[in-house]
Amino acid sequence: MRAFLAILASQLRVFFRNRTDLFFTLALPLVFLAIFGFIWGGRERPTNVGVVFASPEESILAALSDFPGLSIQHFSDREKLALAVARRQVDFGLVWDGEKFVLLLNRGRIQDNPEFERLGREIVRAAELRASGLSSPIEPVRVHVGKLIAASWFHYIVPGLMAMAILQAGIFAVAGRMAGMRERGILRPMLATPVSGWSLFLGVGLIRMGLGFFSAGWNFALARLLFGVSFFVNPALLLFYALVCALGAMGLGALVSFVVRKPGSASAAGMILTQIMLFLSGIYIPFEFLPSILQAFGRVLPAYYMAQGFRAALGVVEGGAEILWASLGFGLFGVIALFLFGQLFLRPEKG
Amino acid sequence: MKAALALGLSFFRISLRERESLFWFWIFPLLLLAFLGAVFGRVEKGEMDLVVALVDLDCSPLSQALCDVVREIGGGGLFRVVEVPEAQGNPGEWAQREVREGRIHAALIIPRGFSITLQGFPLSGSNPAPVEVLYRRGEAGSSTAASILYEAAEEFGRAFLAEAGLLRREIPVEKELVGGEERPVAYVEFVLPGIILMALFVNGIFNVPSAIVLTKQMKILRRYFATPLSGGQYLAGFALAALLMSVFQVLTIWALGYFAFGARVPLLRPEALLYLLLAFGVSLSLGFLISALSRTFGTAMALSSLLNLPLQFLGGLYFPLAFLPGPLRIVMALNPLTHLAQGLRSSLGLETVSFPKWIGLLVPLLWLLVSAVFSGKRIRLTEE
Repeated sequence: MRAFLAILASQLRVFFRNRTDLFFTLALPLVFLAIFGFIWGGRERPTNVGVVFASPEESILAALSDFPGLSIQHFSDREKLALAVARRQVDFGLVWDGEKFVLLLNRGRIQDNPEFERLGREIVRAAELRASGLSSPIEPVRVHVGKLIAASWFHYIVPGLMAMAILQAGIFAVAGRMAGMRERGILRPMLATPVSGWSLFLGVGLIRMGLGFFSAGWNFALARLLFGVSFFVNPALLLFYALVCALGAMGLGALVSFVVRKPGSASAAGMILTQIMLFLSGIYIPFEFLPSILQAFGRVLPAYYMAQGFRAALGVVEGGAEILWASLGFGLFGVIALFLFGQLFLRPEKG
Repeated sequence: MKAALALGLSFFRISLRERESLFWFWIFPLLLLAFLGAVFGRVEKGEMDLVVALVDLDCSPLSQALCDVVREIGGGGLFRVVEVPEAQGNPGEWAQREVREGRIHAALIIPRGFSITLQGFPLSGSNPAPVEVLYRRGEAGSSTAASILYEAAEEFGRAFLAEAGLLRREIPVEKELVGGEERPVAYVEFVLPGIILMALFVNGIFNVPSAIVLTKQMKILRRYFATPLSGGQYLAGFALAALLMSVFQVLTIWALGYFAFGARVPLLRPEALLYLLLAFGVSLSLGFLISALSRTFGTAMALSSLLNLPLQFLGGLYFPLAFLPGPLRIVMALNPLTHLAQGLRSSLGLETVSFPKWIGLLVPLLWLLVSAVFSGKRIRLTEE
């Protein structure tokens, strides 16, 4: 037990001395959340529309007042408005010449333009109805039926980031730290002492996983503090997903160490695997936007199920049996892979 | 000169032989371009794997006409329409469950009495006919599907009034794209200059500290300087290798964009070449600055990582940035990548810069000069 505690303490010291590790654990979640939060979460702000009215008409002006969510900016002529749109000072422009509307869109805002175009058409429809003394004969009402009442963009990304923090920590605990110790020849002398291989592994694993859990919790706390995002947490389910995620991720790290045996390469391979999972798991880029071949590949990767599992545990989505079984399978894979790793590498003659 | 050339070639070979640098400097930018091009190129064409359900509880000719309009929109590949299973006792509840549990992105519910309300609307001026669009707020796919259904319903209402001869005024709408040159721009063309800048930037801020801080820490540089090689020759050799790598990186990224996605990005324009050269200089000098500020390789990597993602994302390399909150706007304005990305894209006719042109040149130049002067004074190639 004393040896195990000594390993724990030494690993903690190693972590605090390694500035890169410290950065990735503490600062990276903050950077990701703040940047992505402000860039994409900020889309919920009012849309800025620049308008030019060559011949102001009561009905056209009144139509704009039907959209309280818009921030309207008036321009004296079309050229000035076009420049403001091109320089992104306004989101899009509407020019009314008395006969027709011209919708000015920024060529570079490829992803935003469909939404602006939809909004522009909605304004024109409202103007037509006003001019005819009518109101819309159909009233479509958006009804949010998601599990969480106050769901927003953050509610989907934060659980994904938490899952990724644990996955990354687990992979690097084995493919980075343990493989690194083996490659630098530290593991063998340590295994030759009375300290058992498993207590050494547990010491390293516990510290790395503790950091992974901390990083996940840090993401959660930052979302709450910076953006006021709150969740309905199911603690038992969260613990379950965190544990299977940690076990499975360490198993993945072990798998990487089996496959990539060249010194220095296991950690790099672990990093590549993490990046692939990040892009294909539907955390940053919605899953339905991926081409079907990448979707099929993404569904084989554990990150997809882990992200969904964390979303379910935080009350964002309904947790289905498929996610539960896939997560259990991932945890089981982790146990088997770690057992094999212990048999292969945690012996003095193999270390 | 001969020594610098030999060193340059050896650094270049090392970058191809080391698996990690081979991946991050050579393969990753290509993978990123291929990934973003494949994903957003598809979204741009309106090809998304969205699934919507139509629940027609009215079963009237008007409600069926609305369903046909939705089906027609979906026929373009934007979404797939699923029908309510026949065995469903309550189709509304079924749709709600399917949307809630994520099997369907959005559902249009046409209630009973829709047709009567709609037909009576113009005459009596009664309430409009309600329809519900079920979706999951916050989820990108579901919100997109809901917006499409919402607009389809509104457009149907407008068409109904027009057909009934009640819409006294129909206003035509023209669309005009502004900024950049008069030609359609695909997302892959927009992102390609961003990927090139990312590759140059990553090359500079990660590769320079490896060549200076790591080799110094591992006492490799000391051995170099036991030969007649001078510090200046070493740095010149390294800069030469970085230039060679950058030229090859730009060429491979351009070639992938051109041949795989048909991206037409005229990089040989003089202004574009100027911005590329400036980007190379800024990235290299930032790498030297990080090396000058770091005593250990760990510190250098932490500094590089700290700069890497924030500057890339706040520089608008992958997505156009519009409105950011105050402090981030300042970071964006001071970020050399913002001006390099905007300048490069503007020179390629892809967009109009949001800052005056002289600021777009001044900010990267200041970064280059300050980093070069500071690192020139502080950098040590041998241990103290």
